[in-house]
Order: sequence, then C-alpha cells, then structure tokens
Amino acid sequence: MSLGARLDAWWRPAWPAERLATLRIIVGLYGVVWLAGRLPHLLSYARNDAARWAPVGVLSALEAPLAPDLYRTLVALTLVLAFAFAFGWRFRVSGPLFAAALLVVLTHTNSWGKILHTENVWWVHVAALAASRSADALSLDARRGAPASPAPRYGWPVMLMMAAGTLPYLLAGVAKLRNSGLAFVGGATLRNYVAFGNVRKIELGSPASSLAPSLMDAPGFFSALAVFSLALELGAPLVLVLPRLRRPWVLSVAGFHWGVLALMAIGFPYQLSFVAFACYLEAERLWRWGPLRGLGTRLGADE
Amino acid sequence: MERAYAAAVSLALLAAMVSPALRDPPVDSFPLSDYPMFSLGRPSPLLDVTHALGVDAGGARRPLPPLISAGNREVLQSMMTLRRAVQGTPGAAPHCAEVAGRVAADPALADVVAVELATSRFATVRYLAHDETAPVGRRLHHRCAVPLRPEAP
Repeated sequence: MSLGARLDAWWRPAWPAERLATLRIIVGLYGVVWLAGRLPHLLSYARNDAARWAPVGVLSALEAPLAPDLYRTLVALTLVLAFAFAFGWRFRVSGPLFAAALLVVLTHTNSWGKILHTENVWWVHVAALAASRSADALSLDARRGAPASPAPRYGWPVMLMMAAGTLPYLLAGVAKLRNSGLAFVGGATLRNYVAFGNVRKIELGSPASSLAPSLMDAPGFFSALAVFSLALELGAPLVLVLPRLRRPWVLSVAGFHWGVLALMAIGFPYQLSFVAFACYLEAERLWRWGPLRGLGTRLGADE
Repeated sequence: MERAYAAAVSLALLAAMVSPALRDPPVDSFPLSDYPMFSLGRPSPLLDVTHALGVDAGGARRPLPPLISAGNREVLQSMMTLRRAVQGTPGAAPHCAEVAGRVAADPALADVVAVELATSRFATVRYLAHDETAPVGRRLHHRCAVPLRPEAP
C-alpha cells in the first residue's frame, strides 16, 4: 500500500454513520442547553456601551456592534438553528447556517476588549459537523432513507474533530515554551498565575477558588502540575496516531480542566461537560446504555 | 470527489487553526487563537488591578461585582471596561457615576455610600496564603457619591 493510500485510510476510516450522527446530537444539544442557559447573558451584550466595542475575527471590519435588535434576533435564530442542527432537520441548510450564526454570536461576545477561550473548540466542532454528512443517520432527515453503511465519509469528520480538539492544547504548549521556555516547569510561574488569577477575581468582585490558598506554600505541587499540563499539551497530537492513548489522554485532559476549575475558578463548559471529548470515543455506544436504549432503537441506532 | 472534499475541508480548518501561531507576532482572536494564556513568564507575584470599590459609611471598602462595575457578567471583560474607563477620555468620572447609579438601584448594596475607581497592587501569594489582603499600593482615579436611593414604600 502506498504512503498516500495509507494516509487516506488513516484519515478517512470507514466508520459507522451513527458515530458521526451521535456526535452531531451531543454537540447540538450542548448548543441548545448552552444558548438557552446563557440567553440573558448573551442578550445583555445588546445593551453594552458601543464605545467599548473591540471587534475581533469575522467582525473585525465592523466599526460598531451589531444593532441591538439585529443582534437579539440573531441570538434567537441561533437557538432555533441549534435545535435543527441537533435533530438533523434540513441539515444541508440548517447545519452550515447554525455554524455561521453561532460564529457571529460568539465572536460578538468576544469583541468587548477581552477574548475568552472557552468556546473555540466547540465552534470548530460545529463547523466540522456542519461540513459533513452527519445527518445521514439518527436525524429527521434520515427517517425515510435506507440505513447508511459504514463509510469513509463518516470517518474523516470524526478524525477532523479529534485533530481540531487536540490542536489548541498543542498550540498552548508551544506558546508556553516560546514565551517562558523550560522555566515554566519550575512551578513558580504556574503558582503565580494561580495566585494572580484568584486575587484578580476576588478584587473584581467575583468568586474565586477555595482550594488555591492551601496550596500556595507547596511549590513542588505546582512544578508537578506544570510538567503534567505541558506533557498533556505537547503530547496531544499523539492520540491521532495511537488510538490506545485516546482514553487516558481524554481522562487526563478532562481532569486537567476540572483542576483548573478547582484551582482558578475558570470553567471551560464544553470540556467540563465532556462533550468536547465524545469524538475520541465510540460515541454510538451511548445508545446501548440502558436509559437511552429505547430512544436509540426508535432513532434507528441499532439497524 | 469525496476524497478531495474531505482533504479540502480538513486542510482548510486545520491550517486556519494553526495560522495564528505562525504569524509574527502571534495573533489571539476568535475562534482562531495562538492560545497565549498562562504562557508568559510571571516571576513576580505582584498584581496591579483596576477595580471598582464600594465604600460604606465607616470607610470600609469592598470590590463591586462585574455586573455593577461594568454592566457585564464576564469578570475579565469587566476588568477591561474598568481599565479603559480610567485610561481614556473623558476619564473616570462618567463611569464612576454610572457604577454609582447601579449601586443605588441594588438593595444588596444599600450600605454603600460611595464608589471608588482605583488601581491597586497586591502581593498575591501572601494575599492567598497568609490572608494579607490589604493592597501594597493604591492609586485612586475617581471617587463619587452614590445618589440618593428612592424611599422604600
């Protein structure tokens, strides 16, 4: 087998349509819950002082924020599209539309002087799913069609989601080495960041970690944590070529995010909810789980 | 055709994700970023933070939450709003008055009689580890009184 053919077989494995479809449902339902739960917060941006507008990304060219009514309509439309995305309704249109609307809404929320990094992977996963045939199974669109057989067209989007999920960790690790060198693993930098982040939150009137104060006098802990996080970040792409590393890496990174929440009161909801990591597992097995088995049968997950 | 589509979409998305880190200087944006958080060396535990403080009748100060200090739930965005308010024109006074108005409308802050916009310096490790929460330095940008609250019916 030629190198090109091996590369193709690796990147486009013939995986079941149900795996990709399950990911669409999980990521889409996460979107429904996230958008509905944060609706008051998202809508509050419409009342922001336009003088504070600092556009980034696709909104960089806008000299002023979106008109309040236009922005509110877009937020509401994005929530409706999240339902269509999750249930796979007219997906060829609703999928890309949801990805586009979500991009504008999330970019708008990041355009007020401080870029948050909590929704980046979520949006990239939505984009990968929207660009694929993820509604060929377990969807309203697929109700009348014949069951889809495993095929490369259902494998590469999952590989893309995995690769896109590991890249931010690799880039973060590279940024640490570029900006701090190996001094980062000494632990002092990380301890100072934890102290800095918590005091900043307290002094800005926000809840902070109750665990961090008890660890401030334990420099060895922060050194070990720095080595651990750097290894997780720089080693992330290995999970693409070594499948047996996926579960331990996923559990470690999820633990890392829970640790960040406990130590710094910084929450990455997409990662904390584990939705970000579903693509590294055989997601279609979810429908074999007792409480979901009946629903899976009705959706055609066992055909 | 299907193979070409998979290759094009995959390469476009992954190349776009890597691109911010390859630029000089690297670019932090959304949704594409070089993920610079926590990467800069931080040998000093000293923190300078611009915040809004509520002052009660006895002179005690406490930080006001983001929704009051900046009209925004996101703590880091409230920080940027406050920083800009004290640095830019027309200065800190209009923002102070805006914050004081929100304080007056919040029953939970009924004891607050004045608002201060200040930049404070904290020794963060000692702050957390030894409860030394007093600032090691503070620069007051503006102080304004909380307007009279409407009488309760």
